[in-house]
Amino acid sequence: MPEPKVIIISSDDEKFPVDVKVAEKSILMKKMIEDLNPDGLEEDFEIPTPNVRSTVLAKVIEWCTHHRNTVFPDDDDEDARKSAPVDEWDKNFLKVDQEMLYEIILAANYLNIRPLMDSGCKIVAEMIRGKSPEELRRTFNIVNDFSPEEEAAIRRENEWAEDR
Amino acid sequence: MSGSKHKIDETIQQAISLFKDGKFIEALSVYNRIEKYCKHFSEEELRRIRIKEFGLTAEPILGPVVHPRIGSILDQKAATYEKLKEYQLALFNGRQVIKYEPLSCKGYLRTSKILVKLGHEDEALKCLQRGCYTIDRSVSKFGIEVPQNLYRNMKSQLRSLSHSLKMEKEKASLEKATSISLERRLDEMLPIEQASRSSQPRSKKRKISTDPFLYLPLELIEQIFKHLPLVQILRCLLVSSTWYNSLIRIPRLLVSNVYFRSNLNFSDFNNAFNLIRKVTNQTGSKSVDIIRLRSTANSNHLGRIIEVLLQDQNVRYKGFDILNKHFSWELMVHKLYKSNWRFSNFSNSRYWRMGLNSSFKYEHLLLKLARELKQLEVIVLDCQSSDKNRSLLPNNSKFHELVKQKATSYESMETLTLVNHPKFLRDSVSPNEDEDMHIRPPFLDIKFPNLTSLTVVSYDFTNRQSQFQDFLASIKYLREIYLENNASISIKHFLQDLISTKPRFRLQKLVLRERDISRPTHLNEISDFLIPAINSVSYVDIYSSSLTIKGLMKFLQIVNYGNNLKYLNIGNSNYIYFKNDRIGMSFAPKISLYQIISIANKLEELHVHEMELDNSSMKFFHDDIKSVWGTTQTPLKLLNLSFCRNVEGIGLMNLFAFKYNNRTESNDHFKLDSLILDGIELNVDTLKLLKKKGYVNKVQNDPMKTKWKQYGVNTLVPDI
Repeated sequence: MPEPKVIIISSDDEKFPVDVKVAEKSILMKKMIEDLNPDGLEEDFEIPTPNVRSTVLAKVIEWCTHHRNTVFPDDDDEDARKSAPVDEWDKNFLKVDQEMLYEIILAANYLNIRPLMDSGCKIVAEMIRGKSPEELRRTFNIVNDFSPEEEAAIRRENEWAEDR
Repeated sequence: MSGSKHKIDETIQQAISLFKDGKFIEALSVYNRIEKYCKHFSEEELRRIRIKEFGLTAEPILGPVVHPRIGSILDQKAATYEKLKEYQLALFNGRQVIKYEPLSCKGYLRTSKILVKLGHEDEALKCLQRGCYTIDRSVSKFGIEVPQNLYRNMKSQLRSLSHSLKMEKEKASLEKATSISLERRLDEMLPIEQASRSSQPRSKKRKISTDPFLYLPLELIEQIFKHLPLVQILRCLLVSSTWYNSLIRIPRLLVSNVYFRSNLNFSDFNNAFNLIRKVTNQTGSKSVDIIRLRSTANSNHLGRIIEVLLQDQNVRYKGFDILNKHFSWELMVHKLYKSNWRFSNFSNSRYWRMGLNSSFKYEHLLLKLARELKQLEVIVLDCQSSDKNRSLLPNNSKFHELVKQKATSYESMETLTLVNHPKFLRDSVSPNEDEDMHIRPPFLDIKFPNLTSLTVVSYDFTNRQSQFQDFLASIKYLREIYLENNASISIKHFLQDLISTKPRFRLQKLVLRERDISRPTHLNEISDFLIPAINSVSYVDIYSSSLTIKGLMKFLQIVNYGNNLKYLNIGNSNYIYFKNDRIGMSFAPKISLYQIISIANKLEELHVHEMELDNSSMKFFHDDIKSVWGTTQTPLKLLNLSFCRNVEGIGLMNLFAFKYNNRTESNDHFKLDSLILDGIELNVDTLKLLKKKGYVNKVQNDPMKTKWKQYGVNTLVPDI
């Protein structure tokens, strides 16, 4: 008899059968599997993810599959998580359009996959780092809705910090 | 007949609790009853009620003469109809609020919110525009006051709504569409109750920009921005109103570590402080983790800044870090006196670090005012005369009373760092009383039972040894001690004190950099190796000590009694010489590395910088390391040979792979993780070769580096 699988169902009802080990990269799914199958999986186990579209879910599962054996720093170790550079594979993996990137971050947050969420957030942070407000508006296609007076007032408000 | 304010307010409360319990129909009937009651007064009666019962003017600045409660009642009626999904009735009541109270933000907020729910964003925008315009004009024309939070809320909604409408128009031409984000964004901006929202699905499809703030909730925005420096986050406030209004709602990003730039003037500070107030008002979080202040334009600016820090009611500081040449404890006392000893913004501080322009006096006052300090660092940055500071002290009874009350024990303190300016510590024979103030170590008369780390630099302990003994003996859990350049604290006396007082603490880290090195120390007086307080240290630094070889051997046997020593710094030792090539230079006995590492055989870091080492010393090092540890089991990871100018490339090669009679290379060499070679000029290729051969992973070589020799200044006193 083949190993029972976890079947993750996207919001648009697509089914993704994966190994338990892959699904358990998501703390949310891990908890669900453990809570509802205290003696281990005996048959296929379905988990619906009503917030995640199939294209996004496919990406998330690809990540979990690649990192099935990776050991990450403890979720509670804020410093280690903050200082760790983004894994090279993750960097390439997350070279997607911005909307997809946000959806992956949202999905990782919802499914509680901290390392994926951290990688995504760091990549967005890198898009912001070092850019002027005008460059940021271009990067994210944002319209400046401040009046010149408002802009001047905010500029006064923000020129006091140490440049570190 | 009376308006009976009290009765009306009570009835309103009753309706509100019905509303909160979900009994909307019942609430509505109560509201209708009070509405009717409030409306039944004649205009004459209303004027009287407004003046007598509410302390208002007879007529409002704008709008009809109405009962002062009618606006709230109608607004709440509208909210109740919203709950009942009676949006047209809700809208009617919302508009009534605007009609009766054109200067209240509530009506505009309510009406625009309902209009958005009904899908009439354009009308909602107009409503908010009208509200902002009316209120703005009245504020400037009549000087009226409006509740700031509602008013700001209205402005920010106007901005975000106009922004989304603008985006929407731009997007109409683009094909790709998602509707979720704008709706989420609008919902977030508007105070719509979560429960009643989902029933109004949007049918319009919209294409949205890739603004992360439109896609991601604030908690994830925080996760992104925590990777960015404060300056960048502040710059991001200028991107758009959405960015601005979202970022100022995340206190951990903007006001947890408030690091002011140097050369700050008061108006910069004031602008910053306005932002801090805004964030604390928005979020209800009053606490700033650390406020850090460096140099200021001049002392007046600093004085005014401190006044604001003491007096502003909005912010509390868990940490305070000030290094400023105009700052003195006397200045702080002066400002405290002027603000009527109001210290509540700092009274729960855990961390204080202050750099003073003269000695630290009246130090007990600080412990009296701040009762929960865990960490205190006081660094005397300058050696100015204290006359000018003294004139700042208030001559009033409260001050003298406060100064007199000295605590005898201070429980919360864990880390205490006291660094004096070394220039105060002259070799004067008998200091007069005033000079004595400058060199007297503070706090020796207080017990700190929970101290774990103590640092004292450049003070005079002459005639205070027994007081210092008692001070140390009262500490139970001390882990780290750092004593540098203090008069009358020598290695010998320190060991003798520990033997006689037998303190309970067990040190892990011992730094004892002596001041008086005029005579060599052999430690003949110490006969017992068993000194539990320091028998198991793992970190020992006796830079520039007076120990002789004999003294060092004894000292090592004591500190490595528990065989725990991993870090040793004996750099710049005054009476210790390693074996080298300079035969005949000195008849003094020579030490070998073997003698050290055969005692401290778990050593991982050895610092022997500023010593008379040369190329042949490196050969001896090589042999000693091999004979103690072999080539594969070397625990040593780091060797610091900085400023040993006679060590050249060939010497470094010798260190790793020296062979007396064998020219062939072998793999039989030991490895180090890092080698520190500052202050020596070396060929870059040599350093590369060391790494290429696999002798060492990291080499640090900064030929321009200056020595650590100047006490206090290069080590603990920062450059400001």
